[in-house]
Amino acid sequence: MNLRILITGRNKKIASDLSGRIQEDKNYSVIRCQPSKDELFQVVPLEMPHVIIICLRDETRETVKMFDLLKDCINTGRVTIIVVALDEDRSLFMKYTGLGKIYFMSRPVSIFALYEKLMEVDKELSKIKNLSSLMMTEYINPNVSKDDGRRTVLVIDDDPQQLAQIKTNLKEFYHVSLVRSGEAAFQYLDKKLPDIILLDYIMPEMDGPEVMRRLKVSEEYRNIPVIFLTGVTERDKVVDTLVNLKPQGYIVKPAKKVDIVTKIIEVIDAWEDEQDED
Amino acid sequence: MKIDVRELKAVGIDMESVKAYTKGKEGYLSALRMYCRAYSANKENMDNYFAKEDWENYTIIVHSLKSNSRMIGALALGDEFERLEMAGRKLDLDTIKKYNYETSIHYKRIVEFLEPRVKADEGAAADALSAEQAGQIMEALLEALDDFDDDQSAALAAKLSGYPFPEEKRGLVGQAEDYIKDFMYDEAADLIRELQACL
Repeated sequence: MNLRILITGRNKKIASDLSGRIQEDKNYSVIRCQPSKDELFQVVPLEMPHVIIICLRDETRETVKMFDLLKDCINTGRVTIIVVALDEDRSLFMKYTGLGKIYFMSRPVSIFALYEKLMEVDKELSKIKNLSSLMMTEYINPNVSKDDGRRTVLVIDDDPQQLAQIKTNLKEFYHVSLVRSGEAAFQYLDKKLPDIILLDYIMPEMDGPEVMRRLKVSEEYRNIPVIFLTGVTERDKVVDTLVNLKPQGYIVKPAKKVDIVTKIIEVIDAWEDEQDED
Repeated sequence: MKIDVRELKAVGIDMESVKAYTKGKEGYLSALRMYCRAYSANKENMDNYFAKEDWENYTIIVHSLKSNSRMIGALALGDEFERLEMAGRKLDLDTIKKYNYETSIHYKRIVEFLEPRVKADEGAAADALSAEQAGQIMEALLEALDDFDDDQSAALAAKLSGYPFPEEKRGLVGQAEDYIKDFMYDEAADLIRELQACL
């Protein structure tokens, strides 16, 4: 099988070394990707790698959180994630990302161990007792939901053009339901509950804040996280509303696909953490 | 018909500015079609609210038009709608009355330019349906509409044109499809129930 291996991360030297070695020694396709949100977002769904190798270096909370994008980008099934890192970066990665299963390798990288893991993936073996197991430690995040189903996003906006645009941006990663008014939203909610709501701020008859108020007073709906959709001109108004109604955030329209998805991931993660604490 | 980027630029539409927001050329074309399709209703609403001096709803509609215009790269037109929106918020009636007509004309010009250029190719004709098949499709369609499933609804509605509805009712299928494209599920369902009575 021609494994597709994506290599990324701030440690460009290691990334480059690994890339060169794997291409020279093995018959695998290697894709290099800059460790940026935009590029990961574009490349991962496009290339659909079997393995992602992340080479960490001098990371911060923000730089590792970016890899949370991989959670919703990887919707086709198994992707093996291997992180090459020293202890400090490893701790940061474990603390701030919500990825389900990661193989950590410390530095210097044992290329043989890595090849063994790649072969293992290639042969679709789950676990073997060999050098790779000795050189790598498997970490399974206990906090990640076992449910791998796509999340459902309900978008409420009076403008069909905005609705269509948002759906185009999100449908690759989520089930997306669209309604044009607060009234229709409550009809929807009578039948099913989404994982998150994107709510237009300015709408006729029942505006965004009013929808939000009604959601908050409902036992059934108050636990659904809400992100306001707002234009630049009313952003200040929305910020005031944030203080009073406490939605989970806002997105300024028009928004790039990567920004909407990142925001959704951030909000759901934070929301779930909060619920766990309660 | 092909879209010429230079032609677009000549009428004030900057396709490059919206690349980050639309998914490729097809996504952009789809956004343009939707923009054109919404013109009649939007223009009518804008005119009505202006005539009735319903400045709250007038502001909401120009706010929408501002965003939608920017979304297709009609940045100057978006700025004009923003001017009207800000005026509406402040109840600056002088500004609204001064620029409403000019902005309407600009909006009309853009749509008239786009419409012939973005018209979708006629798809393949739907398969012919028996009354029984049409009935089953309509039941499934009503369920999909009740479920707020726009994709499934659109797919089922497209099949319905294969049934020979009476002449005076045939237009309702197309109208239902348009309602579905605009996510107006209840309105589409009403038309489908009307068509059910024809079987």
